[in-house]
Amino acid sequence: MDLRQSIFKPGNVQLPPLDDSTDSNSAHLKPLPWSNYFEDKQNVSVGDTHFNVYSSGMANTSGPVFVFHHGAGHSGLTFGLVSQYIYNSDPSHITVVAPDFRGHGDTIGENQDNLSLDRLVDDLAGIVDAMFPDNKRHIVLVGHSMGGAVVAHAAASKKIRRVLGLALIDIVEGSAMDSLSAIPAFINARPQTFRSVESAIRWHIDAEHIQNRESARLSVPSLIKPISKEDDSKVWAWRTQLMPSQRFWRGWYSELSRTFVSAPTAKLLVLAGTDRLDKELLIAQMQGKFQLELLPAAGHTIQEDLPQRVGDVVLSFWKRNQPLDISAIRRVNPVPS
Amino acid sequence: MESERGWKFTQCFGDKADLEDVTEADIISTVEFDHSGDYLATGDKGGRVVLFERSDNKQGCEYKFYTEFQSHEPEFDYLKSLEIEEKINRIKWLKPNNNSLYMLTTNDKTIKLWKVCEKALKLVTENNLLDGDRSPPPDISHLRLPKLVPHENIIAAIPRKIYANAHAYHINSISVNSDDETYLSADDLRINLWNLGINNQSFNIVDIKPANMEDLTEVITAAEFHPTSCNYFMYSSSKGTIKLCDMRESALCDQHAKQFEEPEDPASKNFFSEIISSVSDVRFSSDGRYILSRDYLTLRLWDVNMEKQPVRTISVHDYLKPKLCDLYENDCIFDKFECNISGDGTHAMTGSYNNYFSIYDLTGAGDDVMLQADKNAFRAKRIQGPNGSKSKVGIPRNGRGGLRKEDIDPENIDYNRKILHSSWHPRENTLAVAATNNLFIFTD
Repeated sequence: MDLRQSIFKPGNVQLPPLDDSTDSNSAHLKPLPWSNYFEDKQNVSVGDTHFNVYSSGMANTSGPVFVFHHGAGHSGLTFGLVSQYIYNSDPSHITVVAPDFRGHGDTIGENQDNLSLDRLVDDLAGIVDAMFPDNKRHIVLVGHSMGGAVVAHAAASKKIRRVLGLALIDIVEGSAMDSLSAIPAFINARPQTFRSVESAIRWHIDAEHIQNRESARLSVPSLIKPISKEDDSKVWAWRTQLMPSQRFWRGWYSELSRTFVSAPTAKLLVLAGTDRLDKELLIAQMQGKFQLELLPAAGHTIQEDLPQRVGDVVLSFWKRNQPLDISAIRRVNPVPS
Repeated sequence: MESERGWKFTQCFGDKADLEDVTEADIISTVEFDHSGDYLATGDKGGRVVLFERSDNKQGCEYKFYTEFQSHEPEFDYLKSLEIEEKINRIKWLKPNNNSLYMLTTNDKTIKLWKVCEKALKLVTENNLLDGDRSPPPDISHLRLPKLVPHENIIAAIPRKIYANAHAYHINSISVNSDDETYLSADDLRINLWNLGINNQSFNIVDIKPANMEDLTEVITAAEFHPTSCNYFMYSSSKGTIKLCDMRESALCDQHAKQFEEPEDPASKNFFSEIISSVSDVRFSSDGRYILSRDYLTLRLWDVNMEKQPVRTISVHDYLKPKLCDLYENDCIFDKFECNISGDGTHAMTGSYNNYFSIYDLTGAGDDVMLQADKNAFRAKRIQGPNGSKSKVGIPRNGRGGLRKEDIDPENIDYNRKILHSSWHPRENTLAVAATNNLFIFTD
């Protein structure tokens, strides 16, 4: 780009779209069905809520269970590509589970506004207990953003048993607390409604919230819901209103670093280059208390932008922390009798 | 009346491969006739200069390959970690001297003065030792004196001067002064004045760099010396202004003597107005009384004595107006089309997309013609005229069979094939037009 072009086309100039109606015709914006990425979509009732849960490999009985918790304003489909990648690496043993949480996606019930940390931790524990009663399998908890806070507390408080590993994606207490004041502005800058699902997908890609087109096509439709207007036209609005949850935000992130570091399990932190470790995490990292992976090419939703990289990282994290299988060793060299 | 008269294509140089197969280094980046019209120079993206020489035969005039040399090499600026392209941006001829041709060539950063001449190569014969294969002669009677024997004539290109390190930004123009001693070089923000004999110093005569680069809103797009008055020069900007400056007034010509700008109609202002008003090329007529300027959609002819509006405004391709949004997305809106004015000042020419280019009669008397520089032009398309006569590839703009401007569908145009560079013969109506990697010669 020469100097003249750079005057007129600085990196972030957004042209108004030519015509919203043209989006519906674009094949590259068509929503993708969940069934391309998950085997099952089921209802799990816990207390006052019927949680919508996506999963694959529920038939397996041994092997690890990867439980994914999405962040505020997202849905379980944000982990669609990653969980498919992880499941496909060993489909006869691995089980992957990605619920939609209270007030998000296709989950319905009472008290959907209660997004306090304790409530969310209890919800997660409830879902795991309902899906895996008398669980003997190892569980790997993976949480993105706000979901990371939930899984960290769930592991540290031992509300979920047999946790083999705890992975947090792009969440650091210090940076999260600092950015809380900017979140209302971010929410207000989003469009309130979209003319079509394809429009919404297009907006996410153009605004670079999701850099991976395939993942946007999968996850964005679950973030919006149709509303009929008086004139019988349809617009699409956000499924989850984030502003009402503002009173819970601070609670999600306070003491997160300490909780994370103190969890009695193997720990992994995956960050896009944009985040910095706060003091507590930095010290803990130097002490070798958790594994740190940096993926600077990604935006905030790392699992959507770079699903294979994240999948590889989580898989090798699990493999490294598997307990030793003694029986296999014993069988190799039988003592001659 | 349509007859065999009219513009017709006469020659084509370059291989006629499909656009996808073209090597990037072969793309022609500049074309220039010399002052006599006997020589034609082209520069390409690979830093090479190719010269053609005119030879008149019974069929008419013909240009033949004369010589080729590598003018610029790719370089690397270690301080800024940037590559410096070897693409030749401009070639300007100097007056020949001593049977040698002289020209200035420039890439983004460095200007070079080349001398092209014929050298007679001579070989040494009657070597006594034949590089050690023979034994030394036994006595003096067998001693042979080496002789120089004429072998062949080759055409050599020698760099005589290299004017380097004077431009922090990309050079877009050079122009030789009528005094034959000085020349100017212009980049995005500055114009320098050089003496042809001195390569380690230059004077800065225009500087529009803002104190803070973040406030940058305007760049220089082209500059040229007046053809006869050695103290005047003009430069055009991305904001659509043309400024005429007098070097006698002050050392730094930031104050213009004249400014040619047509005030914008506020009713038609939109997001693209400023971008398309940027002047991509500006030329003096050979008598210095008129200025021809090209912006994205129009060609304008200015009388040097009238600053407030052009004498004539010609729409080149108005059918692109509804497509400006797409052209912004694919960056085509930033394409820089050159314009040319004939030696006698009666005609102007400029290029467009799909390898179309148009020739306009500035006196308003004759027809305007639109042609296409296409490899299919080889099979001279015959277009039936009204009286049954057939004219060659000329596609007269005002109808009578063949394509008219009104018929062009902007959806079906190849925006990758554009006529950006061309040159008009100084003494006759012959045009050299560059279409990607091919050079077409058209004659009236």
